[in-house]
Amino acid sequence: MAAVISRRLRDGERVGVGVNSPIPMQGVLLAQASHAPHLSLRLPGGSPDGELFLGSKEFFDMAQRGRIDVFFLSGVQIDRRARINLHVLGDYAHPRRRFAGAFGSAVLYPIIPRVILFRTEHSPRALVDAVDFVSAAGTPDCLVTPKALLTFADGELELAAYSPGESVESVCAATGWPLRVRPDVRETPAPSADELRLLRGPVHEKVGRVYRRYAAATA
Amino acid sequence: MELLALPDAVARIPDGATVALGRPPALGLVRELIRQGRRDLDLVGVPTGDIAIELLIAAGCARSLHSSGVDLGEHGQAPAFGRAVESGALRVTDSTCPALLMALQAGASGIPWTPVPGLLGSDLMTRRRDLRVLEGLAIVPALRPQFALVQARRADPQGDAVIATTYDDRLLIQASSTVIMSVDEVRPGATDVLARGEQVIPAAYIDVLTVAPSEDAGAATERYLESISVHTR
Repeated sequence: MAAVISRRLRDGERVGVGVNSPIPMQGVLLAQASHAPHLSLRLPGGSPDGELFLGSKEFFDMAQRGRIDVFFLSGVQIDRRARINLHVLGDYAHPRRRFAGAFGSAVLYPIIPRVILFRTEHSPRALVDAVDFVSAAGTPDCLVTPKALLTFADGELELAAYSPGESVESVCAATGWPLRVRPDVRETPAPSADELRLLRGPVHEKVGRVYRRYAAATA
Repeated sequence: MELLALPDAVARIPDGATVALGRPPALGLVRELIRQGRRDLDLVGVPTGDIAIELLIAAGCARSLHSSGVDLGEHGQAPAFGRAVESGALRVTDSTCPALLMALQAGASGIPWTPVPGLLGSDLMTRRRDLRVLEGLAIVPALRPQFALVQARRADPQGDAVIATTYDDRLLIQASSTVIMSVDEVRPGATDVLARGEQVIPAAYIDVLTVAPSEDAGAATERYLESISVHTR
C-alpha cells in the first residue's frame, strides 16, 4: 500500500498526513526518498524531521488557504460514492457501534485538491454500497487497499489495478457493491528492490519517530 | 490570578459545568475532578478527546461531550467513550477539527458565529441542529467554554506561563471564561528563557494556577488500558 501511495505522489506537492495514518506516512516518506525529493510533508503538530508547527489550527488554516495539495483519509466504512464513515455502525442516534469521529475530515475532504483514501481491510463490510453515516464526502483521487487501487470517475469508485496475488474477480468479490472495472485494468507492479530497501531502512526509522507501536509491529 | 492548592483549584468547578480540555492532557486536574466525584460535566475535547476525556467518562463524571472525535492515539478506540455513546449515557455533539477550532476562534473574538469551509455533504450538517448554511458556507456557532483545564510547563509568581507551541491551548485559553492551569513548577524568571517550541501565555488570561506534574499521555494511556484488561480478563 505504501508503494502504491508513493507512486501517486508528485515531486513538489505539499502533502499533509493526519492522525492514525502510518501507512500514508510511509508512502509519503518513500516518495520523498525516491522520485519526489521536493515534496513537503506537514502534520498537524509538526513533522518527523522536528519542524515546528503552531498547533493543529495552523495546519487546518493552511489547508483552508489552499496550501495543502494532498491529504489522506480513511473510514470504518467507505462506500461506492467514496463517502467515508468514521462515526457509527447502525443508526446515528442509537448506534450499534460507536467509533472515534470525524477528526478533520468533514472540512478537509471537500476542500483539499487531491484526497487519497486508504483502508487496510478490503472486505464487503468495509467497502459498502452506502455508508451508515456520512462523516465526510468529497471527490477523491483514489482509494488504496491491500487488494487494489480504485480510482474515481462519474461519481463512483472503479477498479484500476489489483495487487499481485489478486484478480479482477477476487477484488470484485471482496467489494460490497457491483464494482465497475476500468477497461485498462492491470496488475499493480510489486514493490521494487529499491522501494523495499527504503521502506525497511530510512522510512521505517522516520515513521517510528511518530508511530512507535506501528514501527515496532512492522520491524 | 490566584495560586491555589490542587483540591481548591478544582473545587471551583461545580457539578454540571462545561469543561474544555486541550493538549497535553491536564491529568492532575482530571484525576482531582474524579477524586472529588464531580458529576454531569459537559466536556469539550479540543479539538479531539484523548485519555483525559476517556478517564472522565469512565469515572462517570460526564453527561455530554462536544468534540471532533475521541481516541487513544496509537492504542485506537477509547472503550468507555464507545460504551457510553452506545448505551445512551453520553450525549455527543460531533464536530470536525477545523470547525471546532474556528468556533473557538469566534468565541475568542467575541462574535456569535463563523463561516467554515467544507462540511457540506457531511451528515453532521443535518444531525447538528445548530449548524446553518449561508451563501453556500456552513455556519457554526461560537464556542466559549465555561472552564478550560490546561497543563503548562512552568509559570512565574505573577502567573505568566510557558506552554508548548504544538497544540491549540492558546486559542482554548483565549476563548474560555475561566482558565484553570496546572504547571510543573512556579518559579521566578520562568518565562525569561524559552526553549525551541515554547510560548508564553500572559497572566491576564489565567484565573487559577496550581501545581500538578505533567504526565506523558502515552504512558498514562498504557497504564489505563492495562488496568482495564486486568479487571476484565
